[in-house]
Amino acid sequence: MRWLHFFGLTLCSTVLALYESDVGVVDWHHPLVGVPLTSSLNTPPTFHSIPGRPPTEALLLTATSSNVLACTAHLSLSDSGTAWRFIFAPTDHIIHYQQHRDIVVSLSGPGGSTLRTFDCLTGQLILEKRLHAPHTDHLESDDVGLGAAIAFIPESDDVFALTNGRTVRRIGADGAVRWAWESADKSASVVYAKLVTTPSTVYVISLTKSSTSKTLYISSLSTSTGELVASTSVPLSVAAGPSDVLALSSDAATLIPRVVWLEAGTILSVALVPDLTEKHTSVMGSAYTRIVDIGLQNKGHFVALTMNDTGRVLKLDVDKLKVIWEFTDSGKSGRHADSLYIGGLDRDGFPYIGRVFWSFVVRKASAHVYAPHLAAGQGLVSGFTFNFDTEAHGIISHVALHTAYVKEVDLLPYLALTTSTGAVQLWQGDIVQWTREEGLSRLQVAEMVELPEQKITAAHTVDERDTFVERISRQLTDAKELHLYMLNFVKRFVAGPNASTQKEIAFDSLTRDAFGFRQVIVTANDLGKVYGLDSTSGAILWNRVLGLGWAAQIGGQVIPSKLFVVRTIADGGSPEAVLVAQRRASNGLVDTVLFHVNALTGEDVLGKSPADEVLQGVDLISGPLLEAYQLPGNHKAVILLDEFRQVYVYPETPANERALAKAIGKLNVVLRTGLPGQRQLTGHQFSNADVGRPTAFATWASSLPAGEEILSVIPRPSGPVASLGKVLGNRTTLYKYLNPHLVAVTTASPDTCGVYVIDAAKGSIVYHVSIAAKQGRCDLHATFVENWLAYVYWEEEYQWVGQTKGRRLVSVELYEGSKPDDKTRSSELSSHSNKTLAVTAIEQSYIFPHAITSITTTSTKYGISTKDIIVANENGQIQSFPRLFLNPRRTKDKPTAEEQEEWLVQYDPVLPDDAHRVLSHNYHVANIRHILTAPALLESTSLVFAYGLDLFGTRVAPSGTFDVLSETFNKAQLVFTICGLAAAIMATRPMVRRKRLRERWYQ
Amino acid sequence: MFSLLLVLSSFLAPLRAFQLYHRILHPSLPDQSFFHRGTIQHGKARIEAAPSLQYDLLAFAETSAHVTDALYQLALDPHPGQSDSLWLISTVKAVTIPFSPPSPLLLFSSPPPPFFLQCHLINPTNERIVIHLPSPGGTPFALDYFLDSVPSDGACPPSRVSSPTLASPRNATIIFSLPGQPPLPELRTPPPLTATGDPVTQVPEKTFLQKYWLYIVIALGALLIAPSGEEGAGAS
Repeated sequence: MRWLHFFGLTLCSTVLALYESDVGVVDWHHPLVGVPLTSSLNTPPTFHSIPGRPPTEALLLTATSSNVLACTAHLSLSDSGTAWRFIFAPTDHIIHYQQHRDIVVSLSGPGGSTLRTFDCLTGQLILEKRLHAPHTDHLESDDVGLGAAIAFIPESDDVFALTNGRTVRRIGADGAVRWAWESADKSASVVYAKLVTTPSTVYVISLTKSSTSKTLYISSLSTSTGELVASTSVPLSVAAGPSDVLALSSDAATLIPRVVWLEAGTILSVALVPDLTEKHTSVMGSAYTRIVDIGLQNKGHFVALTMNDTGRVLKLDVDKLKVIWEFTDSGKSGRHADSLYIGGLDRDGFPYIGRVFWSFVVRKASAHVYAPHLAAGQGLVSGFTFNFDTEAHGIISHVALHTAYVKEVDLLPYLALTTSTGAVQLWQGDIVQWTREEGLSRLQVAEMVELPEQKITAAHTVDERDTFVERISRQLTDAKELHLYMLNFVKRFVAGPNASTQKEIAFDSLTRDAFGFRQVIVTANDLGKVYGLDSTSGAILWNRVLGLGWAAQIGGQVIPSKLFVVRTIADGGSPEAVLVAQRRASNGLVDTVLFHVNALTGEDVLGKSPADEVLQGVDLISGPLLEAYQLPGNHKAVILLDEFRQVYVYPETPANERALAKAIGKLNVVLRTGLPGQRQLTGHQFSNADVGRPTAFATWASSLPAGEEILSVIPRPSGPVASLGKVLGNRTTLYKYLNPHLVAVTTASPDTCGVYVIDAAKGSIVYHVSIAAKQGRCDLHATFVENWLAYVYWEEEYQWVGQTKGRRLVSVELYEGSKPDDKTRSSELSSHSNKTLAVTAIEQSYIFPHAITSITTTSTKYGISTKDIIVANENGQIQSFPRLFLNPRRTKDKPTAEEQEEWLVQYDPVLPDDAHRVLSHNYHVANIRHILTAPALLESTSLVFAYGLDLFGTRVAPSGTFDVLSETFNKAQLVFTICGLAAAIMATRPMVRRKRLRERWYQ
Repeated sequence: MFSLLLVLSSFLAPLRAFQLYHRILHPSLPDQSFFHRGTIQHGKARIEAAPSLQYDLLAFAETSAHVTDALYQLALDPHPGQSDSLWLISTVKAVTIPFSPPSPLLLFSSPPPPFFLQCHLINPTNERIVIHLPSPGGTPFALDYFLDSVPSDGACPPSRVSSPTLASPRNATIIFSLPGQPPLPELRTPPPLTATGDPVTQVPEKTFLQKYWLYIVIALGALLIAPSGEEGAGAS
C-alpha cells in the first residue's frame, strides 16, 4: 500500500509539473542588473572596447546598487540584453572595479577584502582571492569604498591592489601575491586612498581623515619588490577628501605623474618621482572652485571649474599642468542646468572629454564632445542636442562616453545615460539605441488589477434613460459583432487555455482574456516611478515619474509605502490605484503624498497632471505616515494615520467619510511603537471627534521580550474561505480557527527569534513560539492564510539527541476548541470573549531544503483550490511546495483507511526538493524580495509575480486545472463522436419507428 | 475577600512582585490615570487587592455613566517604576449606556426609570489573567485579561438597574504562560547495526508460494483425489 501511495504522490507531482511547452508561454523572466552606482567614481558605468573588433561592439560595464557587476551586450545591437552579470553576496558590497585589457578586476567587502577578476567578454570568474578578513581595522563604516584602489602597469596582467586603507599587494594573474607592503602608520587617521603606477614605481597617496589635520602623505614603492623607496608629506591649507585630490598619470613615458589638488582657488600639483623630492607648483590663471575627476586620471586629463562654473580641461604636460580647452557658455546660467563632465576613450585609447547639460530654452539635452588629439592636435569639438525625455526618466545623473568611427574632423559619440529614475539609456549621437528600466530592480510595492472585458470597453455606454427604440437599435448595432463572437468562440474551443497569453492577445488592447490570466501589475520603486506591467509578459504598459511637489525646488525622494486598489472593474469604470508614499525633501522634511492613477493607463485620476508630464500627488499629511489601511467593505477608501494618530480618509468624499464614520467603531489596527530595544505592539481603535478628524487611541499594549525587534507583521488575508472545517475520517470535524483579527508577527533578538499569532483587536496571544538563535541569525520568514501558519527558519541549536542543525519549515494549523467537533464560531467570536484562546495548534516540523528570501501562499478566486506554498530560494529559483506535504496531521505510521480518506500521507522529516515544482525551471531569478499572488478568473489558477533584482511571472494550478480542459484533450474526437452519435440517431430513428409500428401489428 | 485560584505551579512565576493597575478609558474622557488594583506577590499566582479597589470601581462607574463604549483597562508594570507607556495593557468592555425605552403615550405620567445597557464588568464571577513570560522567572512581556461574563458575540447584556455599577470579579485565575518551542522533525531511525558495525540485513520476506505452497499442494491433492461427480447427473 505504501508504494501505491508513493506512486500516487509521484504521479501527482508529475501531473502538476511545468511542461516544456509551457516555458515562455505561461511564464516570463526579466533579468535585471540594478541601477548603476554613480555616487562613487570607482563604480559608475564605463565603456570597454574589445581589441580587434569594430568600435561599435564596445561593452558597457557597471556596478550597481543591487550589488551586481554587469556587462551589457555590445552597442551595435538595438537590444539591451545583458552579456553577463555577477551577483555579489549581500554582505560583500562591491566598492571598486576597473577594466584592464580583457579582464575586469573588482574589490568587494569591507575595505576591499576580496579581489576577483573576470573575463571581460564572458564574465567568467578567473580569480577570487581573499586579501584580508572581511572587517576593517580602522576604516569607519561610512568609509564605503575608501581605502581601496586598483592599478595596473602596461603590458602586464598583474594587479596592484590597495585594500584596508594601508596594504598594497602586487598580485599575479594566477593569484599569487608577488609582494605586499603595509603602511607602518597604524593610526586610524591616515588612510591610503589612491594608487599611481609607473613601470618602476608605485605611488601610494593618503589623506588624513581628521577635519583638523590636513596632510597629504605619499609613499613610493618599487614595483618589482614592493620595497619602500621614499615617503613624504605635504601639508595642505584645507581639509581634503579623496575626491579633492587627483593622481594624474599618462601612458607617455616622458610625462611624470602628478598629484593635483585645489587650495584657496589655486590648482596645485606635485610631481611624483621615486625619491619624492619635488616641490609643488601651481597652475597660473583663473581662480578655480572645484576640480572634477572625469575618469581620465590615467590619461592625464581632468576638468576644473572656474569661479563662474565654466569648465576647463586640463592636461598633464611635461613638468606642469596645461589648460587645453574651455567649454564655452558652460558657466552658471539660467538657460541651462549644471553641466556634467565626463571622459571617455576610443578603441585606440585616445581620450575624449564631454559636457552634457539640460537646456531650459530648447527643453532638450545637449552634449559637447572635445577630442584633444583631432584636427592635427588642435582639438575638435562635436556638439549635438538629443531628445532626452525628462518627463519619463527624470534627470540625468551620470553619463559615460565612448566614441567610434573617429576621423580627422568627425566622430560618432555614444553616451550611456543613467537617470534619476534608474533607467539606463544608450544614445548614438541624438538617436536613442535602447533603454533599460533598471528601476524595476528597486520595486517596493505591487498589486495586481483585473482588466475589463473586451465587450465592456467596446460597448456603448449604457444609459438607463435610453428609450426602447434606442436600446433595440443599440443591440442591433452590437449584433453586427456576432460573427466575431462566434469566431472567437470557435478559436477558444480549438485552442487550449494557454491561448489567452501574450502571444494571442493584441498588445494594444487592454482587455481581459478568457480566464483572467492577463492583469495589470501596478508597482512603484523608491526612485520615484510608478509602472503598469502586463502580467502575461512583464512588458511595461505605462510608467509615470512621481512629482516632488513643493520639494522639486530643493530636491528629495518619494518612497512608496503602500499601494491600494480603490476601484476594480466590478465597481464599474476603469480600475484605479492609490499609491501612498512618503516624500523626503532634501531639507529633512517628510510629508505623506498620495498618487491616484488609472490602473490601465497610468493617467492621473484627479486630472491635475497631463499624461506627458510628471505625475503630481496629493499632499494629504504634512508629516510622516504612521500606517495606511484600506477600509473594509465596498467603499475601498484608504485610511491613513499621521504621527499624531489622526485619521485621514482618501478620497475625501462625503460617501467615504460616512463609510468611515459607520465603520469606525469596528476598526482595530496594530501599530509598532517604542524605541529600539523597547519595541511594543499597540492595538488601536478609532473614535470620532466632535471637532477635527477622527483619532486612533491605544486600547492594549504588549512589550516584546527584551531586545526583540519586529521583523514583520503579517495580517491574515481577508480572502474567501471555502470550508470552515475539515471532516476527518471518523466523521468528526475540526473547525478552523478563523478569527478575522489575527495577525502573525515575527521578531528577532540576539538570543531568540519569535513567531506570534496575535488577536489585533485585544492583543491576546493565540500562538507563540520562541526559537533559539545565535546572534539573531534565524533567517525567519512566515506566511499566514486562513488558519494556517507556516514559517521557515534556520535552526542553529542541535543539542538534542538525534537532531541536527539546518533549515526547518514548521506548518501550524489552528483549530477551534481542544478536540474535534468543538465549535466556537471563531469567525464571529468577539475578541473579548474568553473563548478566543480556546485554540488547538496542530504543528509539524520538516527539514527544508534551501534558504529562502520570500514565502507566500497561492490565492484563488473562491479559495476552493488547495493553497500551496511558493518560495523564492537563494539558488535563484521560485519553487512551490504542495499543501499535501505540509499537512501537520501527517501520520507517523502507515495511514489507516480513515486517514487515507483524508489524503493524509505518512510523515517524512525531509520535504522533497522536487525539481518538477520549480516554477522558474532553468531561469535564474535572482534576489527576489517579495512574491505576490492573485486569483485569476479560473478557480484553479493563481497568478504569481515575484520581484527583487529580477522580475518573474507565471501562473500555477495547485489542485490541477480541474476547471479547464487540458492541452492534450482530444476535442476533435469529442466533436466527431457527438456528430457520429447524432448521425447514428438520425439514421436509426426511422428504423426504430418502423420496428415499433411492426411490433404493434403483431401484438 | 476573593477566592483565588492558583492555576500553575509557582515556579513559573517571577521572583518579584508585580503591580496591577486599572482605569476606565474612553477617547472623550480626559486622560485617566491608572489606579492601583492589586499586587501579584512573588512566587504566588494570586492578587492581593488594593484597599482602594471598591472606591475606584465606584468612581469608574460614575465616570463611565456619561459615555458610551467605555473600556476597562488592566495594566501590569513589568519593571517597577517605569513609565506607564511601557506597561502591558489588556482591555475589556466596561460600557454603560444609559437610554430610555420608548415612552408610552400617556400624558402627565411620570418618566420611566432609566434603562441601563451595562456590560462585562457589571457582575462577573471570574476573571482570567494570562501573564506571558519569555522564560521561567522572566520579565512579563504581554498580558491577556478576560471575564467570564462576556458572551461569544461580545454584546453587552441589557439589565435594568437603577444606577450604573461596576464590580470586581469574585474569582481570579492567573496563568503564567511560556512560549512554546517549535516542534522538532522526527528524524528517521538509523538502521540497526550488528556487533561488527555492519547493517543488519533484513530477512527477505517470503513470496506467496513460499508461504502457502503446502496448502496449495494439499488443496490440489484433495481435488485430484476427490471422486468426480456422476456423468450426466445434472442432465435432464
